[in-house]
Amino acid sequence: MITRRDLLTVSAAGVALSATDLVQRSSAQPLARTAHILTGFTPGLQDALGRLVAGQMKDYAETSWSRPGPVQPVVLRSKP
Amino acid sequence: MVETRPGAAGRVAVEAVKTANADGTVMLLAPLGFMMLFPHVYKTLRYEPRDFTPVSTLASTPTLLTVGPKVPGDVRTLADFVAWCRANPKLATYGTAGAGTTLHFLGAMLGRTAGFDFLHVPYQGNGSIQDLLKGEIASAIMPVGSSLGLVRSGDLRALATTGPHRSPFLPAVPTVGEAGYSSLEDLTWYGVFVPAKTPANIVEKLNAAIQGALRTDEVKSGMAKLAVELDSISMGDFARLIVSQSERWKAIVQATGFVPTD
Repeated sequence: MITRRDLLTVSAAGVALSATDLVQRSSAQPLARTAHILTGFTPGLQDALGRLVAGQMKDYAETSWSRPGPVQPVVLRSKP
Repeated sequence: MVETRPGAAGRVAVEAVKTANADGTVMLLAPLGFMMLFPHVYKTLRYEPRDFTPVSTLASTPTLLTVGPKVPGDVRTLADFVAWCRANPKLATYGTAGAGTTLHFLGAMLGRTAGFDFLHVPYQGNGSIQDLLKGEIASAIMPVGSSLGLVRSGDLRALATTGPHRSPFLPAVPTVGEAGYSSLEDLTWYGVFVPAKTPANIVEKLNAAIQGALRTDEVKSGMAKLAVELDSISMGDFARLIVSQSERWKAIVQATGFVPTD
């Protein structure tokens, strides 16, 4: 059974951790522009080639996979 | 975000990039045919190669001539096939991924060079491979990757590749040069383009990022799985390649008497 004392102890520990920066503060994600690589054909070799290369363009953009869909998107976000 | 925008033989995507923001966030990944062939095969093209800055080539692949069950099993070489086509003019057909493509013109050049009527049957995508397997057409002229598995399984016979050297994916298949048709040598290059007004420093940054990606093991192994060869040349050579290939294909299109439909 959780007592009132337990709750107070946990709350106090949380406040203490926050105060000492042991828990990373939440922060807003930087706004990012999305780079688009367009190919002119239905899904196949070219979009696969695009995803392959885009996935390794670390110097140009941060890459993250978005949810799968009709266009099989890869999101390239320019570094702030 | 990699977006496929099919339509009008790929021209929809090209036009979209032409009018896009010139800030390095919109780029076109396309075979060079968009820049060096299409200006010669379409009456009305709503872009010109000068509307784009070529950033980097990524990969190249030779074209492969394959034959299927419609062609007798003793036809094993390009010379055999040419002889069979001459003897069977009503059966000498080839499928490609469309009229007005380099694949189409390579077949037309083969017929002209070898002196036989080679009837072109255009398809969309890989449709020609399906009909080749069914025996509806005699042969197909398509990128290597489109029928690699079927060649390895023995369902199709590969007669020649169009690269300057043998394809690492089909090392036993001779090149057209080896078969005596060096004028058919051709590679399909895939490259990245941005709108022409994109600032030079952004183009340089994008080029550097692409070169960095091409050096990774992930990209090298990935390209092998896609049956294309990593092929990167300098930006200057890339621009010169487009110019020289444009002149070459202009002459080929004119020689074949191709009549644009749109």
